[in-house]
Amino acid sequence: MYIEKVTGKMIEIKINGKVFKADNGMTIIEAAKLAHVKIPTLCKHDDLPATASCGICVVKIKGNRKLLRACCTYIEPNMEITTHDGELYEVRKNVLDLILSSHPFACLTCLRNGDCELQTLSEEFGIRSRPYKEMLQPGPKDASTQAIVLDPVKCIHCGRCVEVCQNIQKVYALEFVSRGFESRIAPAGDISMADSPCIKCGQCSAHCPVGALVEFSEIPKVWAALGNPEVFPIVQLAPAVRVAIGEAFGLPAGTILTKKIYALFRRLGFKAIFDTNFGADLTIMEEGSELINRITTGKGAMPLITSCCPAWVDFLEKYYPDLIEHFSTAKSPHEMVGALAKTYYAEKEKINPASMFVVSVMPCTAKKYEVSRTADMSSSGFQDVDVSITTRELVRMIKSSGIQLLDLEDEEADNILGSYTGAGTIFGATGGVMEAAIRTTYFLLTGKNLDKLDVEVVRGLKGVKTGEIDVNGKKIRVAVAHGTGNVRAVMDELRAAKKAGGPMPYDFIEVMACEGGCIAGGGQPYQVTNAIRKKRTEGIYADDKKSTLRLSHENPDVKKLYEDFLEKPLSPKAHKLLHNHYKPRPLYYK
Amino acid sequence: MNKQYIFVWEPETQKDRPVYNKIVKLVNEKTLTDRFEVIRSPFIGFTTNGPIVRIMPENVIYTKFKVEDVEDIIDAHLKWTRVEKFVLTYDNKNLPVQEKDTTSKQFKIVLRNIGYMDPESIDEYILRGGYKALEKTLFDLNPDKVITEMKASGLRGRGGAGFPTGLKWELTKKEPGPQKYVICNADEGDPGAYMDRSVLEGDPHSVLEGMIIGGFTIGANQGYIYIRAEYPLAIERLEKAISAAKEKGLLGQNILGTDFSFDIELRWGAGAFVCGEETALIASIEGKRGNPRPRPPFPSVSGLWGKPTFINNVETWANVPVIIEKGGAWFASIGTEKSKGTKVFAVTGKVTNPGLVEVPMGTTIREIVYDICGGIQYNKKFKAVQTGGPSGGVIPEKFLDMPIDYESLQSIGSIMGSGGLIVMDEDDCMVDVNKFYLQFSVDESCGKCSPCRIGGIQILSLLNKITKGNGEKEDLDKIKSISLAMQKASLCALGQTTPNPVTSALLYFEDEYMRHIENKKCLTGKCRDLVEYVVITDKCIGCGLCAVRCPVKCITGEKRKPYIIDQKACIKCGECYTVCKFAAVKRG
Amino acid sequence: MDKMKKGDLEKFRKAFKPDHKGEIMISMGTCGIAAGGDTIYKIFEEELKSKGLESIKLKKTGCLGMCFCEPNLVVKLEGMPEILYGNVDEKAARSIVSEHVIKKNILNNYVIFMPSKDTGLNIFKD
Repeated sequence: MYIEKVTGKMIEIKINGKVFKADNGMTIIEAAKLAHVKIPTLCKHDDLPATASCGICVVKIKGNRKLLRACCTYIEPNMEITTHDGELYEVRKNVLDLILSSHPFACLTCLRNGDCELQTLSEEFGIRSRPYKEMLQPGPKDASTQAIVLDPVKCIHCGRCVEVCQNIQKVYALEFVSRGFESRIAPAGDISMADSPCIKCGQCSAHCPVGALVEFSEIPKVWAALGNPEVFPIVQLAPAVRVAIGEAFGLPAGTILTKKIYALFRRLGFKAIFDTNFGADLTIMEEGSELINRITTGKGAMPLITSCCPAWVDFLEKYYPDLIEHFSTAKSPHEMVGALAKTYYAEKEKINPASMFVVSVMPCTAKKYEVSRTADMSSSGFQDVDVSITTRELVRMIKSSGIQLLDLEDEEADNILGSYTGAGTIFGATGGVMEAAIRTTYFLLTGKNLDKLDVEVVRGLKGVKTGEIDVNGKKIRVAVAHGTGNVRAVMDELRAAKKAGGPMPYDFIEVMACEGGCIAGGGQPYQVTNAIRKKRTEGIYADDKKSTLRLSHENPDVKKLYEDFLEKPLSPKAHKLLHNHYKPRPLYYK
Repeated sequence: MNKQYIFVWEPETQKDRPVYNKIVKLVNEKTLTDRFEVIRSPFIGFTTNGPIVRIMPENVIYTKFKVEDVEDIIDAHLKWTRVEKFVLTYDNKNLPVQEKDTTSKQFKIVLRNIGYMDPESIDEYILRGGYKALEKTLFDLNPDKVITEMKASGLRGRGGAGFPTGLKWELTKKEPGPQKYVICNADEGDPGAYMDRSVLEGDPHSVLEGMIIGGFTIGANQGYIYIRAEYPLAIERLEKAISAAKEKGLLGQNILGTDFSFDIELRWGAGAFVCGEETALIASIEGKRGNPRPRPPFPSVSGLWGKPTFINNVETWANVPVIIEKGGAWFASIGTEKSKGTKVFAVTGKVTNPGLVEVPMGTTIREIVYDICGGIQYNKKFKAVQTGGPSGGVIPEKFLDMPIDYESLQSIGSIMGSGGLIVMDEDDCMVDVNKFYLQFSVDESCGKCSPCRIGGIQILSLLNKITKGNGEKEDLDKIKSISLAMQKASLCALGQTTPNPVTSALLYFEDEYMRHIENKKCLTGKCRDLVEYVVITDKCIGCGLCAVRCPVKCITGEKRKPYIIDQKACIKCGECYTVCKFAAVKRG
Repeated sequence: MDKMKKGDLEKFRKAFKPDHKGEIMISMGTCGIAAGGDTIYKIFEEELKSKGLESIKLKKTGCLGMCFCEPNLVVKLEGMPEILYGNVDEKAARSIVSEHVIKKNILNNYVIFMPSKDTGLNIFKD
């Protein structure tokens, strides 16, 4: 998450002859927005610091004989900036011509067709021919993670993926290898992504301007299941998808489309429509009970760390394997729903679980990896979730089906895994799992509900949020971190405390691998910025606020599930279906 | 009193050596043995039958004398005069080439010790006045005074861009913060340039001394020398120099007993040319990929590990002790109005005496090429020189007499660069030379920014097309468009300057380009697809030498009749053209 | 070794007394070594030793800049001008010892120049 350098000091600058007041910490590209100019660029993403690689955003500064890059040049008092003129157009177009000479003209068959920043810029510049010889730099296509696909030939070397992978997520999976024209994106040592430290968070794919880094598409498998009469297709919808998918159809970020999506699923041919939010409520029951267990019995390592985020699980297994004992053993919500669909639901509805095909629609690319992560992911006797697709893939399915999502009438999800509470829905935002857990653990420990259900201390986009929750005089110290880059600080603190044998700084820690949480996951619609994160988060909290039930333990279907099937949280059956194991993994397999 | 040396040569026929014996006798009689040393010398190369006497250091050569005249000569030289009527010559002009004083136009500041001092001996450096400047800095000056001297000297960065060094020192000193760094950029990489290597190998202490003074001035206590791993000898000598300086208390804790501590460590570069760019170099020291990053912030504000960093090139550092010792004003008295001091050039290419020269700024290219380096090899015709390596441009004959400094070179489309000076003669093809430089820059581009990454290889492919005989007039427009994009939109100097060799060649040698494109001819024969070797039947006497020497045996004929070259089989090596004694092979 | 303090440098310079009567300085930068400088160095080492010329100091220096005539070397003997020899081969190296050093005969075929001043001691041209 890129936070601009705001100094609060306003200075006067001249843009295209007009005087403006702008914050001293702004770059030219930001300041130009004041003059209603969007300086063209291919590499600068509003969400990331400048990588200064494309060379298109050059502008003129009076008194400087060189052209400067607007993306990374900070304004200075009395700077006189020209954002466009004949020469700038010529230089920019020449650079664009050069970039196009090394980019394959395969737009029609590209996943980013119609949603590609290079395509858009070419259109804006009125590119009608390719003056220079096509020179491509092919590299091996890497789909080894089964979650993210890297196709170096399409790469325009903007460097956003490296920036986000190394400096934001601090995973260090992607790097430029080789030099000059032969340079390309690959894990260090030119190994495959599956053998690299990659945690499949997909932030690279969410920031890529072209089709060089994309999600591993499972759409054909879903269509095949929908077209096969032998198959019983089941779908579940993750919390964060409902507040972001509208952006792909021109709606503002944060618009909640839950019930239209349920209707859509039915139109697409799914026979059972569940909500991952149900799984979220269930996760709270299991994880909350686990926390209480660890607090009251003193057995099990404290603090407890949430484990709903598969990218985070992978990150911890690779970078902090010594902290595995702190992990909650609870599976992630969609895995719980998948496992129950093929057991509980199959029994109730008398459907052969072998014929079931569970699709989960997620804001996430790591979920694609999670579905076959360990043997625990087949606790029902079958792979619990067959396929996980991203929000972006669902958008493509909607468009290819021709269904007009926005015109659909609202419909409801199906029983018995479709209902959810406000606590389940906030799982989509950073702090949400923590807040939902606090609401329920408070009840489980005191027998009473919190007076005020909104736990503001864990909300918001600050990288690490800490606080104390008073439960009958006992303080539960919590920490919430999102974006693996921010998480490291908390984990290092924990590790140091462990090493010192001294008191642990926290009792409960929530982690989400992506900044802002799942609402800005690696599988969400493009062009995410903090402003969009904020709006999607507002959508999530609005969904919670308007819910009649806002506590996981009050979800009637969850209660029924325990009564009819699981007995109680942490029962042996719950353990078999809803919990899993972790193991240390090497950063590099090779 | 200086000693004088009398060298005597006598022809083989005069076995009893009358002149030598006479002089020895005179010197002994007059008890001048402390003043004159008489030496029997081998033949020194003058067409004369009689004896030759040469007296040093005046360098007067006598041939027109008789044995009895010797006494007059001795008496004259005793009074530091000469006897004109016997003199053959007394300056360097008429000496045989190998006896010319090749240092005459040189002025050695940076190279002051090199070749006369054991670089592995700190004692020798100290004896030659080394570390005097450091002592002066620590005890007689303060940082502000050092900066005043540096600014007064007018020294500009010798790495190529020519930024005023004193100003850089001042800017870095002004930056707040307890931790600052000093870096010596020894990542020399221009093809044909080896000035820095020679300085580090020949006089490592002068660079260390400069850096220590720099560290004291800006308030840093850690320095790094970023040096290419391809310079193992320089690394070895630097390491020895560092440990010797530490042993003597000239480096490390409490230098010369003061509170000032400063340490220097080496960092090896893996040989990427772009790591000579300061921000890429800093990234490389930090252990990251050596890619340049945008400036500002400049390293003087935020450099190594985000701290104010003071980075200068080897030659710049080596100038520092001299400036401090002799004063900025002294240094500023050398050179031109805007470019002060001297510049070391590595002269390579088609000159008779290639090597390293140090000349005052403002020396002309003619002086360097002809007076110092002995002119063009084999008396061929001068074509151009390339300064600034792959980032510079070609300078044609018409600018031979232009005094060179930062501004003048820029005004004619080249740059000073780090000091590589490659001389080309009539046999060099400009398109071919441009191809060489482009290939270098393409190979050395880091690949970060698109104008450089793609532009370079596109220009190179167009040049290849031209040299293959497929060039079209529009290709020159394309080259110009790409050059514009690269020069204006590249992030670092590597990309901005990659097109320079081509753009300057198009300025001065456009006709040569057009000949390649329109006539499909390369007159130098360097572009093999654009040359043909044909036997001129009128001139060929049928000796058959060309047929014997042809490596692919494509020349046939009968003795004493004109030979024929089979164009299909010919590989255009040009051997027949070179070996023909009768100029009967035509290249065209 | 004791660390130097203020004034020690000058004391050292003043107290220094050379223990040799002449120097042979061989250009041994990378370029000089590549041209065969180290072989020449070994020959000198051997020759000086076998002829008992311990008073002649043999030393390695950096590149003189005259790469066109490497291997090159400077011979500085008491009472003789400083001579720069270039393109020195094994035979020349041995002759320099036997002729120049011992007999004080300069080998003209290898002389590159005789500086009109002893540049070795005058750092800067005046």
